[in-house]
Amino acid sequence: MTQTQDPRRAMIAMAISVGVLVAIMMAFAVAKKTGLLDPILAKRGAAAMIGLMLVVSGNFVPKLRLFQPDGGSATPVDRLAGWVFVISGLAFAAVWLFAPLQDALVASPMIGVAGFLLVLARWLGWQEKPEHRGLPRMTAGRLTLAMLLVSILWTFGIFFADTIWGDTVAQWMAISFTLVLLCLAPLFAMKVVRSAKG
Amino acid sequence: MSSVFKALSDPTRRRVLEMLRKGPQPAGELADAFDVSKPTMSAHFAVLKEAGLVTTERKGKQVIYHLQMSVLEDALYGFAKTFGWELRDTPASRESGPTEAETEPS
Repeated sequence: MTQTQDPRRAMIAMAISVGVLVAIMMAFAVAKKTGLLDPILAKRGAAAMIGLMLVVSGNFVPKLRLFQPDGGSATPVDRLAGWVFVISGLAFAAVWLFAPLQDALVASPMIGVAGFLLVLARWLGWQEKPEHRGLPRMTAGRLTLAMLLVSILWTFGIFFADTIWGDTVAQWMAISFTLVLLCLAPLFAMKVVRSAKG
Repeated sequence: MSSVFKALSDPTRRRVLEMLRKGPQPAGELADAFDVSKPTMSAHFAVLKEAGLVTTERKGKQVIYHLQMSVLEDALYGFAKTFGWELRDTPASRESGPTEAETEPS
């Protein structure tokens, strides 16, 4: 199957979109630290960017066929997952932009996690047929997208932890995840280089 | 992105995408569903491929077409389908064929 190749243009578009969103998040953080922006406004802006990150990731799920085990066309799970992530990402961003801060802290991760659970339920249901079973073959693009989605899900967990246990637990969760990502980075780089060599 | 708008602006190409939503199909079967010449159909396929909306796979002598649309492209496709959106009303588009620029050999 030739479908195991990543669409190059989609990969570039995804990388640029994610890069821009990360840059905007960092700009919010800097603006907060330097006092250029009201801390609450900066927090809202940065959180809305996480929602938009989910929108961008969801947009490329059917294009990269994240849930396709044999490299064929996008599955119904891919199409549903794409739409669910885009809609829940937009809802997440809207809550952070327009809802009262305390409501946004509780409601936004619930919206995000609900989206992930819906996709998981659909994927498990789809896998009941024997011909659909198996994990997707991980190309560099799919791996990037999967890592991005896991990172976003973990961020929702951090939001929950921040609300339930407070700032310290949330900070430890962020640090531990960064360490895990740093440990996985060499493996990820190897996969990308191998994929590029063909 | 303009290549995506161009690809979605033609009703024949939108029908090809509609057919591919049901699953991958050989180029021959797709072409047989339309009352247009093979070169015209090839030009339509080329436009869709250039826009990245479809991808191909060779199986023996057959070329199989797969749908490859992002959520945004899917939404644009739905919009174009619902509102019958066309890029411009030229005689070529009325006959459901590709424009002169699209059929010109590159």
